[in-house]
This record gives sequence, structure tokens and C-alpha cells, in this order.
Amino acid sequence: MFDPRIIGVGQSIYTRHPNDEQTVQNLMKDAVLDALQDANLKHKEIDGLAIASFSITPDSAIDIAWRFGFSLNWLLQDTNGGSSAMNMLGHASRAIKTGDANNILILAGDATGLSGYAKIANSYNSATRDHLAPLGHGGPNGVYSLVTSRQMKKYNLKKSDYANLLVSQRNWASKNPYAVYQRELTKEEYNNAPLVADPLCRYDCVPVVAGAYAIIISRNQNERIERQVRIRAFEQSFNYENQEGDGTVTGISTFKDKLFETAKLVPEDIGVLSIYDDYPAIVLAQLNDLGIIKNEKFRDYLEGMEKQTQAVNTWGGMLSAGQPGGMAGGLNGIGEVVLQLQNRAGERQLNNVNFGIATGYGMTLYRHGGTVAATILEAI
Amino acid sequence: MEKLFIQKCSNCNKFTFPKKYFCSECGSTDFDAVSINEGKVQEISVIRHMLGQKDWKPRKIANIETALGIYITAGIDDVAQVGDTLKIYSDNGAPIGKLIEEK
Repeated sequence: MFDPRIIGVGQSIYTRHPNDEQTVQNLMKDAVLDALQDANLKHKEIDGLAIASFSITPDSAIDIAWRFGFSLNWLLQDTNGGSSAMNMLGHASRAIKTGDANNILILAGDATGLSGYAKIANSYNSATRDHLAPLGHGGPNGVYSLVTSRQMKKYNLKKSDYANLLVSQRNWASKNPYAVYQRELTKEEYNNAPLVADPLCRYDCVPVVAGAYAIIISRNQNERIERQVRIRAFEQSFNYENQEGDGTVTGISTFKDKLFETAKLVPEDIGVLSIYDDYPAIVLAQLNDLGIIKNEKFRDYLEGMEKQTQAVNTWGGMLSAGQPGGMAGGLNGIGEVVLQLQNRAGERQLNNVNFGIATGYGMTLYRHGGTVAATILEAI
Repeated sequence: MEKLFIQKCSNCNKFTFPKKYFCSECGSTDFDAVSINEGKVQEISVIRHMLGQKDWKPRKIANIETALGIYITAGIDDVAQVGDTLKIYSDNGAPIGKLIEEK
């Protein structure tokens, strides 16, 4: 059995307003070229491909393999939305371990445009199409506006408390040249922002962008990089409570203990976290389930964000850098942890980070997401 | 407007919505149809913007705790507030709540 390494990351430009040339295929091509160069691999050395995208229809994974010139031993197409990146990472890691492939490219991207995204949001699944969209529920904004209200009620939070998270992520985004929003955000701006779906304001709703992200996982090391990155623990949960809960607790609660036991670590050991951030309430729910927020003291945590020692979403997260589809957004979170662990995060670089967590959350079934996953990555 | 029907497991009596094919509690595939008549508003959101639509008029949705104990998301087109009890209907499968008691 081989112990896989994540040996390369790459991405395309992220843009709110793609031009005619910025198709999903062209954006994916840019991400692949970037990741191959980063991994110091030749195109021919890729023998496995995992892909997730809402925008490649009517094509599927094999079409991308063909059009991108990859002849493969291993192929996967994932449909788990915000959890796709994690799901692909898990499957790819196991494929490397068993010898099914040597170098797997994990690729995601979208270029739906706003109207395309709206169409997807309204027919996301049959429950949404039949029972929510006819109400004019506003897509995921409507669903998570209700979850946010429940979280505020449950943990006695004010809307203004959430500003701390948004301001922190925007500060990180100012150091990410790919982020679509890099200008400083003040608490005042956040508190005065127009509402989109009460209580969610403009800054709480993830901005849809066109873009792509890729990572490469391999049985070999990248000799050009001093610090290698391996998966120390990996857990997932699907349909953990049949949509019967209130959405303020995620499936992480079902595997948090096992995740840290497998890693032989405690939450305090984690130096950097990429928490899937389609909505601020879901970031907080995951941080609480992971044991990063202590004793359910959400407000204390939020008020202390400026001096946090366990940095969250250092690439700015999707809320500031943009959501190139939840699938690529999830990959970007994994890639950011890799860069931090390898001391390659540029202006965003943290000091002395040896362990990081990346999560995925997605597939809004009816009242909240049905999939969640987390991995602990380690620098060796 | 019609009645909104949900499922009741014929074996273990668990209620569920939307439609399921296996009961998550006992695995039974037999369900009875039961109508939801009333529910209480737990949270409300005003959907002020809709992606891709310029002439959108704000609409309200609510999380409703039904008298049968399960939660549904319903549309509201009157002045109902959190805590109000609503009559629940179906508009082609989409739940709609209408105010029956003044707060």
C-alpha cells in the first residue's frame, strides 16, 4: 500500500463576468496546466482523472478525458456538490493506495453564469423542483436564510455578530490575487448591506464566479517541494439525519471523534482550516462540530476572530474569493491547506503550521445540506 | 388549493415529507397518506432578490412546525408572523400557509 501525497495544485482565473473564451473547458484547461507545472509532471503521466462540474453537460468525465488527451486507468465523475472535492480526494487516495493509478488529477470548475446558476438552483433535485422552487424560495439563499435564523435563535446571536467572520475572510482575500473581492470590508458596510433573503445580506450570499481548480495526488513525492503533504485522517457523512434536524448541526458531529482519533490529534493541534463556506452559518456550524468553537460560545469565537490562532479560510473562502461552483470551491479549500502546509501561501502564509483541516458541505436536499466531509492534512 | 398530504409509515407510524420509498426508521415500504391541516410559523424569510431575475417582487417563505411534529417549508402571502398558526394547503405539491388566527 502506498501513502499518497498531494503533489500539485493549480487554478484558473476567477471571474464574475466570463467572456466568450472563458468557457468551463478553457478554465479547466488553465487549472490543469497550472497543476501539472506545480506537480512537475508531464501530461502523459496522468493516469487517473476525477471530475466534478455542473457546466460540462452534456459531456461527462470520459468526454473531458478525451478532449484533454488523457488515456487513463481510472476515472470518476462526482455529483456531490460542495462535498465533491472531498469525495473525489477520498476515492483518489484509495485508488493510489491500491495501485489502480499513480497520478490522479482531481478537477472541478463551473461557468454557469448567473441565469444558469439560477436554473440549477431551482431544479437542484426533485424536492426543490416540486416543493420549494414554486414558492419562489430563492434557491439556497432562501434555505440557508431559515437555517441562519434558527442558528441565531439557538445560540443567541445577533446579525452583526456574523460580521466578524465576513471581515476576517475579506482580509485574507485581500492577499489572494485570484479573489474576486479583495477590497477591505468594514463591519459597518456589512451591517448596512442590503438584505437578499432575511436575515442574509449581500455579503452572506456566496458570489457565483466562473473558474476551475485542480489538484494532483500521487504515489510519488514532488521532489521540488521541501514539505510533502499527506492525508492523515478522512471522514464523510451522507444524509446523517434524513433532513429531520434543524440544520444547525452538521454530519461532522457523527465522525468528529473518529477523525481526531485516527489522526491522533486534538482540535487544538490544527493550525489552518478551510471550512466550506457557502453561507456563514454553515461555517460556524462546522467549526462548532469540529470542536474549534468551544462550549458552543459562538459569539466569543466570532469576537475573537481577529486574533485567532487557528486561521479559517485563508484564501478568503468562497464568500470573498468567489464560488466557481461548489465543487471547485471545495477543491480550492483543500489546495489552500496544502499551500499553507508547504509554506507556499505567499502573503497569506501562516507560521509553523503542521496540520490543517479541509471540509466539504453540500447537496441541499430540502431543509439543509445532506453531505459533509472533512480531512486532516499533514506536512511531512 | 388542495390539502397537503404527507406520508405516515404503516409499520412504525413515522411521518415524513417529501415522499419517501423506504421508511428511514424501520425500512417499511408501506405508507398511508395523511393530510396536514395546521402548522405554527417558526421562522420567516423575505426573499428580496432572485438570481437571474430583474423584476422580482419579494416573497415570503417560512419554516412551519406542523401539528404532526414534522417541519415543512411553506410560502406565505399574508401578514403571518413568527408564532402564528396557519392553515396549510398544497398548490400542486408546494406547501402554502394561510393565517387563521390573529397574533
